[in-house]
Amino acid sequence: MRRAGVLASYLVLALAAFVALFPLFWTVSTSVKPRADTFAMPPRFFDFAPTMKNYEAIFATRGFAQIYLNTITITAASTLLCVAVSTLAAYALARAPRFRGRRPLEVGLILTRAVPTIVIMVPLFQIASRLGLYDNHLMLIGMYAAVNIPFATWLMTSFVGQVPLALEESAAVDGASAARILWFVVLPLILPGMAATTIFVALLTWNEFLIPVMLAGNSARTLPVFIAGFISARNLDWGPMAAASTLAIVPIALVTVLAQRMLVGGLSTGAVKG
Amino acid sequence: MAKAGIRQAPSLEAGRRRLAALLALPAWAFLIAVFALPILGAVWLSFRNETLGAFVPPRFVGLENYRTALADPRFWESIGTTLWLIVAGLAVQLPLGIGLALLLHRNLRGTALFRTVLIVPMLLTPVAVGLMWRFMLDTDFGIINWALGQLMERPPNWLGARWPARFAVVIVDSWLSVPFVMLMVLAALSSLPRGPAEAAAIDGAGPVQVFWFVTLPALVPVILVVVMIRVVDVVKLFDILFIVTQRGGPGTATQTLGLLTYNTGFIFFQISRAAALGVLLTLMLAPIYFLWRRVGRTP
Amino acid sequence: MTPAGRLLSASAIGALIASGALAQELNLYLIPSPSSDAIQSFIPAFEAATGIKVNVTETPYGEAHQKLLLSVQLKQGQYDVAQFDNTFLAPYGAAGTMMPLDDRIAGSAAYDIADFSEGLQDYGKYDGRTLGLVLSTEPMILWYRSDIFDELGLSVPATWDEYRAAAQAIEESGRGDGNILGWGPNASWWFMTFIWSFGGHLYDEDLNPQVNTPEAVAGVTFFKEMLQYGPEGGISASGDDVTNKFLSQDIGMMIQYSGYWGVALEPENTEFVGRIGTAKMPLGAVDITHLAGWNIGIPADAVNVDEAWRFLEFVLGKDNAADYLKAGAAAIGRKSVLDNAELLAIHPYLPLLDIPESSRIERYPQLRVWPELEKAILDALPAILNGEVEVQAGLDALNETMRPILAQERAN
Repeated sequence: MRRAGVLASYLVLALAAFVALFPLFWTVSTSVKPRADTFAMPPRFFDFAPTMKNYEAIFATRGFAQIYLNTITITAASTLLCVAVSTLAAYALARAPRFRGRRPLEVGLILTRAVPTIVIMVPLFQIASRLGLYDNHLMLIGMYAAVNIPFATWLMTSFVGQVPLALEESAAVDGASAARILWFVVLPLILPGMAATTIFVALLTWNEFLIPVMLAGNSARTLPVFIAGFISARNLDWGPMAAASTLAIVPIALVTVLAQRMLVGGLSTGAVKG
Repeated sequence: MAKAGIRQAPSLEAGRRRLAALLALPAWAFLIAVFALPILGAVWLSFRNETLGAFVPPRFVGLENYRTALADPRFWESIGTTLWLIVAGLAVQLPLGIGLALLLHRNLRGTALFRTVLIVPMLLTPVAVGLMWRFMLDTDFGIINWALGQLMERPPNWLGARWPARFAVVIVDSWLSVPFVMLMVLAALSSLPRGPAEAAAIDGAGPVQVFWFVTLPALVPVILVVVMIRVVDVVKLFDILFIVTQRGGPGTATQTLGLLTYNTGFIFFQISRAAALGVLLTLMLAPIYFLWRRVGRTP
Repeated sequence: MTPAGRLLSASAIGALIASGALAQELNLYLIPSPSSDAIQSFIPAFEAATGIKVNVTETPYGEAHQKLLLSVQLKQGQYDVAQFDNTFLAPYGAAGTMMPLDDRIAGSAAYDIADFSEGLQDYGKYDGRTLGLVLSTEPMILWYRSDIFDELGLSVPATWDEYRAAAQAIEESGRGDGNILGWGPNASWWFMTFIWSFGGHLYDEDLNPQVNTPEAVAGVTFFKEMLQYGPEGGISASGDDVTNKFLSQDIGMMIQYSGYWGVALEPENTEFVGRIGTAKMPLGAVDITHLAGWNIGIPADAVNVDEAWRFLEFVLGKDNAADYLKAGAAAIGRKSVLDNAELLAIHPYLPLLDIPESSRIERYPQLRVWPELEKAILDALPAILNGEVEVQAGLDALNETMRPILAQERAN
């Protein structure tokens, strides 16, 4: 009975893993298929001559290197900005039960987490254009950081909450200022939490679509917008599209595998202590 | 928990408050610049008759945009569509997410590997995922209907008809978010004390009874959090609908209120009408804010 | 510094750099397409000939027009030349986005407007003023698989009745599907075509909707009827899918814009190269040509207007016409290239671009509310096409949905 149960568990897990991974496999496989095999019926799983043509086409696309670089730099910069801002706010929320503007801040964070981005896009589009910030890297970095602040603050608050208060109190007794305590006592202890938050925010930023589709033009375009462009241009090729998708997904898959413990741990902390 | 321990000299307490207020300032700056000002901008726009490209001389029109929105059947239909995606999505995602979490929680050999594999979908770029699903769901050269074709006479025309398309969106959305539900529940499971379940088992309760009467009630708080997050995320859902059903098709089958807002503003050029829709959308989420504050407080 | 301050100072620096730039520059606003690629292939030659530096901004179709509308509305002077879809001629015209080009065209021997048939001369006109040059001429034509037609002994249909018979014959022979049309997210293209071809109109001169007249009902009924001779997934086929499926499955015929021909040329895109024929779209009650395609012009806020016109003359002038077509763009219907033997070998459909005066040219409706109107049509069509509602009832309802939208146009 127990063995049957274990076997059934494995079966279900294997099925779930198959469902989770198949679209990924199919994307990668489509990306190395010659065009005719892409549309073959019945589908060709392995019996085709792999080709790099689709990747060559992608790399030959004007500005692709720029787009990839944009995605990396914008993601990196806005993630660091977001985690820094959120950590400060999280420290305040976790450690000071009362301070000027605490309740409005809590409400503000919830509101901004819940307000659909589409609602603010039209005015933002106008504001950005008027200020000459349309298609501007800094604008995108600030926007991305802002939309992820509620989530990052939420996560960081629980990490800060785990640091024993006694440590800070003893430092205070020794005469350390509040700022010094934050920097020398608390920060080292929440570094793992910050790392997990960083990875999450980086993933969210990397994947963001609505903001760049509206606010980025040629020079600040990012990967998701580039990929989505495959359906709006009169482009009939699934191969290059799959290749571009693979290029977007590979870094994520790597991060997932390398940092899976941190990811699971991070979300678990947030979920339970949130 | 930690909060209870604070009992300090008044001066230190005051310093801490000042520091806290200071540390929150950067966050405030972002929230105001990126959310508060644009939302005020949206409210202002919604009382005017502006179009992208200014076809008509802009002027104040009062509540006209709101009247137009409320009288438009597309508005009400899009609310229905949003609700459908929420309800049907949760009906799929909660059982699957909880089920998988329970399986992972058994800590069988290889659990870590399965856990890694199973969270992959929630991390992938939705735009890329959407394109691939659209390709897989194609009636003529999609692999899904090829597989279904081996099992049934006429597989559904996923993206070509109203209800199949609505199910297709639920499928893709669930593929992306079951891992999230699973992780949240898994985390809650690992923090549950084992005592009550073991006691119930000793008293002769079967695994189903233990789950139903002991584990599930303990999971209610986390499930509520999950439900709220999912509600908010479905209301915000954009990239998947933009790609998989090409902005809410076929017809209006998968046009949520968020998408109707986008279509009105950027496809029809009616940015003032879109702003009114956006304001209505924000107001409709009000119950969520309050619920969130209450549930978010529960540890 | 606050983040906002940082953003502002960065933009101030950006503005400084921009104002210090050379005056001899030209900024193109293009939309990814074979036409855009072809235009860009002439940039080195233009730069060499004139010493003007040319910069290109490519913006995907889905956002391109909205962003240009806003950019010009804010008078940012960002672009000197802009490509646009003819569908957006009316919104552009109503918003004053593009500069009228009539005087420059009239004075240009290099462009030689007389090289275009009369119908095409009007292709960029809104409210009597030319806001864009013709950048591509893409009528809806009949595409057919000559091998299937030969095998079954069919002749190329000249009327919709013959088309129906051919589609039926192919379907029944089991050789493949009879035809494909875009019954999915771009169904409006075919919806209009059939209504016009069967003698109907979308709306009358006073902007009253007309989609439930007997002619319109007959056209839409035919459109729907053809679905049964289409592939299984026809009902969701987008405009691109139609071409995609025609080029990769055995489908006897399709009605599609000629502009897709470039895709059918590449052996790596389709195994049917050399087995695809083209012909004038079959005749209905009225001889119409549904014409689509790109325009290109000068935004109203352009800074370097003279240079912009020089560029347009250089790339799209008469002398360059054959080379332009060889660069892979969708063809422009200049009379002087339509009988070029070398080009005909590559683009056998070129003669179809010489649209005779007997054929009434129909463009996308020149309405600034067209996007909303088109969405209303697309919202209504799935239920009509898949039989959930009767054609007449569905079109009656659509007619009423269209009324308030058209009224907005009139209210201007």
